[in-house]
Amino acid sequence: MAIDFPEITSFGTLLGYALALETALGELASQAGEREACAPWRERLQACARKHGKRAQQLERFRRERLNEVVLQTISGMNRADYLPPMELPDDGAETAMQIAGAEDRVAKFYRDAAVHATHVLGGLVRSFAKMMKQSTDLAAELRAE
Amino acid sequence: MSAKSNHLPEVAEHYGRMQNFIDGEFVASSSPRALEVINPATRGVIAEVPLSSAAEVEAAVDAAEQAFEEWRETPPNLRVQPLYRLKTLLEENYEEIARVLVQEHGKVIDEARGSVRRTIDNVEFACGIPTLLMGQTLEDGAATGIDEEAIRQPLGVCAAVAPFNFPAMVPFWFWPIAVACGNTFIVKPSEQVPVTQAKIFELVDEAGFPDGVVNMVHGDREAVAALLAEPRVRAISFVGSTPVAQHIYATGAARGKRVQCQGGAKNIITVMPDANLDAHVPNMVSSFFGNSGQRCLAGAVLVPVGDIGDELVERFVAAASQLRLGHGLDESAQMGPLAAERHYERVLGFIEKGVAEGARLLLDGRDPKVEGYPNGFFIGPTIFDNVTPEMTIAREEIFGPVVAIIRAKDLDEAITLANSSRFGNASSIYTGSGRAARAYKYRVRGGNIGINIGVAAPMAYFPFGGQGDSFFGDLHGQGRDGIDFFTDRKVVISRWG
Repeated sequence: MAIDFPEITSFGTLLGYALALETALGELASQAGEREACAPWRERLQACARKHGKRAQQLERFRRERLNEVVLQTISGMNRADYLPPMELPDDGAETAMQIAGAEDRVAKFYRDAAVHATHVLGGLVRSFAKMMKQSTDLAAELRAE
Repeated sequence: MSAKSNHLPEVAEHYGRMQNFIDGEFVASSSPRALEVINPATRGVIAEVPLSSAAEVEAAVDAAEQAFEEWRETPPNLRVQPLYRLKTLLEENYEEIARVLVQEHGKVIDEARGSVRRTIDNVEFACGIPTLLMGQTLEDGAATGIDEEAIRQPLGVCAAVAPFNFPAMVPFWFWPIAVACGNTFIVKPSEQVPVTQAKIFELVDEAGFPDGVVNMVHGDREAVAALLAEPRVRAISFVGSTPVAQHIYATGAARGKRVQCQGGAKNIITVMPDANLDAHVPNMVSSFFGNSGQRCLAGAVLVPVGDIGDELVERFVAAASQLRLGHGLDESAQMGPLAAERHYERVLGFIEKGVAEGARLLLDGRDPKVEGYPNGFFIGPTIFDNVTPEMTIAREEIFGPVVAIIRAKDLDEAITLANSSRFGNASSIYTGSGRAARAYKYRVRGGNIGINIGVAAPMAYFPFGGQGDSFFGDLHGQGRDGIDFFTDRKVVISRWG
């Protein structure tokens, strides 16, 4: 998967990173959902892929429409390595579902941390980030509960 | 999946020789004079721009004049249709335009994207012309049975001369409104950064404006002189340095043109003792160093008030020293190079002068090490403390990442300092006090005031302009001022029966 995760140094790169996360999680969930070993989780994984696809579109719109020179500023304190999804999935179905659940937890953490910066920079995104955090937390719980 | 920083691809290595766009056609300039367009991060040549002759400007004016009558007779709701199409095309090509802009100017990709967004905002505003252009009518306004109305009419051929710091956006402060109002137009992009506007004009061509309604001529002072000398050009908009703004304003006005000229700036950023530094230091840093300081709204003089001085300076210097310089297409870069070698040398000269005049250099941005780009026109964040108002670096526009710190004992002293500048483009205050903020916006001379905002950039629907030596004219760019600038008002009094 050729998805680059930039260093999070500005509000623009924060949104760029979020886009990369959504794209990566969407692809991982989609790939996993097609595997026979993941059949028990298929419906959840497909729902997960759809959710990330929709969120990626939403984030792309945020980046295009909301960033202007009034709100462009540097940010610090978010480490790129803290939120990365797995580079590849294991063969075992249950292990795959747990890895994706773990990745959703990190996505939720990402949005929790991002919301702090949004409070200072672009208040209009705080609610969206909080919603994405909750969605990812719920997705992780659903995958673990299956 | 890669976890490396993301260096975005260039749209092209070389964009060839720029062409003029006259009467609906891209045409090669026959001028023997030309300049190379340089990528300021690499010093690589990415294009060549012709410096068009007066005869080529005249050809553009001919086309614009011939297109005018039919265009002004086109109903406003139809005049905005190509603008709607252009808006869609700009959205579709948004990322490509931003990357071209980075390549020729050097700013980082987020700054480029933001400026393309504001380019599009101005098209959107102009699409509202059928409503915005409506006149006023008063039944029985003159006497019983005698009605009075005021209507707006376009001027004719108008032109804009653009600066180097915002290659996409600045021409769009003017021409979409002008054209929507029924005028025809000639854009002269900056000869330093002509490629972005040339890419945009490919979309202008595709959007389907009638031939001659929008034209573009590349060039330098010869082209500007030709526009000024041409009596058929009814209005000129300019953004650039104060001496050139003064010249264009005086020359154009003397020749009976309507002129609006935005000049230089030296913006004061005041920080009160009750400012929330945790929240606002990053915003201040962006004000001073965003776009590498090359914008008329950039902070230039930092004025800590009272006892916040030492803590603010310590935190500001610490944050500035962390900024990562790099090629603007590296998404992790926070600051790009200066746009051109001559400007780079000029900014270095100001730093030398600051040292020579006795200011204390807290952070020296000269000769920064930028991995992979040893030849770029990079200057890192540079901060001087113990600056006095008489020093050159406190008075003159540097237009680079150089900060002069002047401490003030109270708000009155900070406001006096702000108002002592001959410029009056922008000023900001950081404070938790509504009283201080209100006093600042009431008393400080400036066209744009920020309160807990370091870059007070008016959106497309607000006027953009300064005061003092930052602006020459009366009606500003953008918004309803733009409509007033590009139209004449006519009062009609009528009686029937």
